[in-house]
Amino acid sequence: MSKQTDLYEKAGEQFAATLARLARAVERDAEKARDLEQEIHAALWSSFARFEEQCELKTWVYRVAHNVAADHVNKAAKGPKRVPLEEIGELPSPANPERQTGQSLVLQQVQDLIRQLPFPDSQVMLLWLEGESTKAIAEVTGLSSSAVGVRVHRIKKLLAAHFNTPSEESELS
Amino acid sequence: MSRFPIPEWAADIDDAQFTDPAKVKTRAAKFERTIKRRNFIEYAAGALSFVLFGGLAIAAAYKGEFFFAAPAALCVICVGIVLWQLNKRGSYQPSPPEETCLTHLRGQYERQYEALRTVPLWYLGPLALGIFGFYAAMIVQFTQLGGFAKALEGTWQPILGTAAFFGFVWWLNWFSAGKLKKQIDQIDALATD
Repeated sequence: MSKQTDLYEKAGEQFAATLARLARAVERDAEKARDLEQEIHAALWSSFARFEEQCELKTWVYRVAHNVAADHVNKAAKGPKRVPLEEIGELPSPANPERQTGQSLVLQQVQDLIRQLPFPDSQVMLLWLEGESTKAIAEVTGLSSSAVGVRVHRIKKLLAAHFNTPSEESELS
Repeated sequence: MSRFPIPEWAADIDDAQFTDPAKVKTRAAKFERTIKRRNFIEYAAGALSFVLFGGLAIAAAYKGEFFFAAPAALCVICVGIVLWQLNKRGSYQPSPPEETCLTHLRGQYERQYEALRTVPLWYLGPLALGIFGFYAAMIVQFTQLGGFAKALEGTWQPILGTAAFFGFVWWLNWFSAGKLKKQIDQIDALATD
């Protein structure tokens, strides 16, 4: 088995669900989300030909996935108006409360919020939702640690009123 | 193991798998074919323009109408310049997706900014040269028939309209480039503490 295929399968075992969540969060249409997911897989497979352990596998996978997703959003003819985190006062109302019986209202609201955010705010939020640390988010996005910290703080503040999120002290060092 | 701040976030997906490597390879090949097809269409349009303007230049020169032959020949050169620049600036130049998100985004914006900022040089300029060359040829010919004032009488409106159109396109590109520059500056500010 080639190193490229080996890396691809290793990434698949660890990050398949993460990347599926990413695709579904940035793309509302289920079919397009699945297509985006496959586009990310293809980009990852190609990129592994260049992987020489320049960074952790996780960082590499996240960067490729988020950049492909950002290009996908930028290519879309017209999306919703993007509002930066500092200008958002409250979570968006769910676009369709009866959209999916299997999908919670919480998840719908979080996904709708992500689709409203510009880059790199949405990328920070997605990585924070995956439980990544400030340092890891900074490595993936290229934002300074303080810029990530400010955004994470805003996200937590925004979500705190709605959901039972962890406190400031207990995470994300 | 990651800890999810919102448990519902992780609960949504339980059956995700990576696409089969064989399918991924097919998809990558399909993407390359799409790019090749797009490039072929661009070159075909260019070849058609060469044939049309080149034919016009040769026909005009054959009839001795050098005032029309010259701008038609100029148009052939201009179309060549525009196509070369379109290919150079607009063709698919993938930046490695493994860069940090900010570097990737900055790279995309920078490429678009440069293309828009220099539109008068590589797009409007050559096109204007060809089109106004035709107007000049018309004025010269009409002047020979009925005098300069008469020649201007019939041509000033389309000339003004064309100039206004070119001016508008230039302004629109300049305005869009300015917006992109602001976004690039914002990205630069985000990357430093």
